[in-house]
Amino acid sequence: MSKQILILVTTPPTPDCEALEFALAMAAFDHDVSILFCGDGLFWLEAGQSERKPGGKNPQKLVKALPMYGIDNASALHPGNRKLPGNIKEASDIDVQNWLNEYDTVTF
Amino acid sequence: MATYTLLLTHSPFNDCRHLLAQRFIEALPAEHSIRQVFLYNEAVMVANACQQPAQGQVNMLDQWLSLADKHSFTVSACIANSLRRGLVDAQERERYELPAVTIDERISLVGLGEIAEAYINGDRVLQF
Repeated sequence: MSKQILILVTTPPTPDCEALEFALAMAAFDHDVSILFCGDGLFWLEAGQSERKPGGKNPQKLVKALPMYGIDNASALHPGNRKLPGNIKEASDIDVQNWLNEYDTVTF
Repeated sequence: MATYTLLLTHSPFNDCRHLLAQRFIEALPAEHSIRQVFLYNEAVMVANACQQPAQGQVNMLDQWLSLADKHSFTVSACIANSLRRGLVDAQERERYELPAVTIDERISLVGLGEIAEAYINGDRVLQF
């Protein structure tokens, strides 16, 4: 039986994007994956990023590709004036409260 | 009765999360069981067979392996995360023609499918 898994991204992109690699793998195994970017994790959503190492993955492109991997629920908490990618919604505090109660959570 | 999988994502050298995870296992009532400890991200550094702590300090690899023996669970490390950090078993050493085996081979290198499967077949996945 698949699980609802919330990937809580609280740290900026790393050279190998291991936080999102984890999320994509869980989605590939048919789990219902949601992602919440918050705190320093909001840096994943900055426009105009490049990859963090030669030949590495571009965090911004990876975020935009989430729907292709079946991850449609991706949100940002308190993004401020940041222009969010089209597939990222702004989450409310209530949303987050509900998700934390309902989902298995993995924090990066 | 519940079966638990522990997901570790932090380095064993930076904070006390590994110690907390080990204490959780020791404190778990006997009717519950640990199915697997899965090392991801910096936590894979546990598997480094060449680590040598300063005199009088504990070796985190030995700590995990002795706990695994005592409570009959497996310790696995994400293969991609391990390879990029230079942690290879004999099979990967041969495949990539690397100079040495650096992982303790009591720890198996596995894909993320293992943890995905733990969500399905285990009762709880806990992250430390």
